[in-house]
Amino acid sequence: MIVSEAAFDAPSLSIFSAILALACSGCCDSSSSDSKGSIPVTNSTEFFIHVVSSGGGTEEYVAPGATVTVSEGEITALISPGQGTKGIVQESTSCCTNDDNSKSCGTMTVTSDASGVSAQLEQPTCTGGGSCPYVYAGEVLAGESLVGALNRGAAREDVIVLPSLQPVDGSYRVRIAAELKETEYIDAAWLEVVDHPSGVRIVKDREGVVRAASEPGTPGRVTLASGETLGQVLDADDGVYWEGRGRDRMLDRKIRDWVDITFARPEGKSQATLLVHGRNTALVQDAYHEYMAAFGPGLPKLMRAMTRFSKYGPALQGYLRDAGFSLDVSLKRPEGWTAVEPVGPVGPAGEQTIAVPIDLPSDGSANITVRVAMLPGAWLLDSVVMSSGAPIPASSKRLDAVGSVRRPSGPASAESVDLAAIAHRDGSQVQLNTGSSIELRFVDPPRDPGIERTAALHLFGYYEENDRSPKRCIKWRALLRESLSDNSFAHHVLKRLASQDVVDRYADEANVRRPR
Amino acid sequence: MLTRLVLPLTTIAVDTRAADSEQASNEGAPATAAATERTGWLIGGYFAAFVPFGAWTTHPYAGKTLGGITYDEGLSYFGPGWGGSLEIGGKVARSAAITVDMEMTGLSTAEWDRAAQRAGSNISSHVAQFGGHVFGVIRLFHQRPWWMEARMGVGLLHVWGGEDNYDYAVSYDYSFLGAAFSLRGGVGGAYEVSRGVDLTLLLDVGTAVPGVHYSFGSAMPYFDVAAFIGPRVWLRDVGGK
Repeated sequence: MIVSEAAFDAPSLSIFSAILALACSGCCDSSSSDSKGSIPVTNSTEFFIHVVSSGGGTEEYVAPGATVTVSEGEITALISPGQGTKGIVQESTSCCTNDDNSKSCGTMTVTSDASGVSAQLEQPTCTGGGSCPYVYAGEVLAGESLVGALNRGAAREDVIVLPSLQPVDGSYRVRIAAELKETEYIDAAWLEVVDHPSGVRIVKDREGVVRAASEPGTPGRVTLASGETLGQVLDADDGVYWEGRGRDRMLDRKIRDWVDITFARPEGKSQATLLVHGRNTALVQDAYHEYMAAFGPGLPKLMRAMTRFSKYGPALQGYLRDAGFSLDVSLKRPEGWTAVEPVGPVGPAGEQTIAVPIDLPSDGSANITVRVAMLPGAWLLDSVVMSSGAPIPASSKRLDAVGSVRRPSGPASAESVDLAAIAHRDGSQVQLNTGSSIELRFVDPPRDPGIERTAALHLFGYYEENDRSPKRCIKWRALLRESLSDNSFAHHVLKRLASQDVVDRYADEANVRRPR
Repeated sequence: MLTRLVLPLTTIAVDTRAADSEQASNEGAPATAAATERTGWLIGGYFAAFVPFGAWTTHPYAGKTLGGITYDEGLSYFGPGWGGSLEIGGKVARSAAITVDMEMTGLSTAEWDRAAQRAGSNISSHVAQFGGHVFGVIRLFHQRPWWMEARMGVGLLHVWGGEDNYDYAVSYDYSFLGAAFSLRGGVGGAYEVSRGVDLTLLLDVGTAVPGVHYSFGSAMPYFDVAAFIGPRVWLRDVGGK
């Protein structure tokens, strides 16, 4: 990620020196970075092939059916000369580092057919990978919070609605956990309980404001970007998803796939609320870690050094949105498509419903059409419905935690310290290292009979990804090249998606269920 | 004279005695006679010709049919080449010397280039080798102005090469070539052309391991026959003592 110069305020000397030190600590385009992994390349053609790796290692005359090993990097496989056939393919490969600092590298298989030579990549999977705090409603994983709040400069408030959270023995118990390779910093945490009539859905919007929505209207017609009709996939939260995988379409110069959803115009309404329910995929999260790791072990350090700049947070959010972590929503008006506020990333751990307010076009048309676009493979959309009911009477209360329990357990004095730290947004923080969690207890206040109550957890904080490597070098050329390249991250995701398609096909044939 | 050459050990002994008798007969003789005995440091510069032979010179396609194209059993990857050699050394005994030789030559890949182009591939390949050896040299025969010697040496041979593939605008090094432990031996002859300067011809046979190692199969040792021709200068003798 490159933050434009315009985003910087005048840096302090110490920060500038830190950045300069990182910048001058060497380029790790060749061998000065973490040790390179080895990629097995299998020749599944009927020809001899040459395999050339930019990371080092060349193997000529690889016999049909043979497997050789070359260093990770840009791997070029070409049909060896003199066989009456030509063909060449180039793929970018990378390895990832596990918790035990061992390397996991994918594999590459070279095949050929009448159209030429192609390569299939099996991308590596490594244990862990930084992410955001996991939130449990009781013992049930509800989802992730503070998605995209990477490093101190991006600290923000986030809300996660917990529709399944119910009081036990008069108390709500919510657990915040650092389950992946990250450290969470929670400055403030409180529970908002909303009392509302039955049948009302409590959701949050992009700003973290909790809203009450009712009378959701299901989609009338859902049309894919290809023109085909999707059917009744997005009309209910039923675990049946739409995942855009069309890879050859552009929208506003970004690689995107989309659906156009038509609703019946609510009578007498000038505004409505789109309720988008879904989650990000593990694929896009893994792709992000691979993509960032490719720029060298110094990049996370550089990003942390840049968090002092006030524009770091907005720049990061802008990058995540443009890269495809958000859903792009637009409304069809007589003059064309108009962008509406996007749906921010929610992470892959659990689905969330995000409310998107829209001003209905005043053309009096019978139908309202919205377009929801995603980076292919980045989202699983469960439902998109429209709420346009009358304002719903709902009252909310803020609950502060009255008890906390650390896991693994800490000293007895830690509870009071933790409660004081998260009571207010005051700079004092609860720090959760990888594998630890904190369970907060909130007292359920009395409620009126016949009223339902839904809780939403508010957090203010950020997270830092664990930095395994002591090295500081950055692959500047690769970073500059990718930053100047349009849809750079999208192309990386598409490669991942191509490999995933191969795996999914084999899984389908073997009747093996694969996690998404 | 020929009988002495057939029995090298005997020849060495005979030559030594001949040299001794020659020197004995020359005791008290004018200084010009003593100059025939080479002494001190030497330096030689040679034109070198290498002829590789053995399985390692055969192309992986030899005898195969690929893409409808059948290649000869004897399709050669590496062929004769030429270059240069530098020799530095000195006498360590009356009939013995130690030299350090460094040679660098190219090897021909023309046959492979032509075969690939006939198959429709536009390539240009190149191979070269660099060797450094320490030789022990024994004088076999000396009858002014002629010398004959045998030498045996060990060292390192580094063969490298690559290919420019114009079909794809891709170039790559040959990973199946590399450094190898080398053993060389042979005979040589010299003709004294002037004080301290011999025109020298050396003929060697050499081998080096591990040699060529493709991703399939086992390594094949290098073998070659080499000839070196050029002046060898005995520095002390040239100095006129």
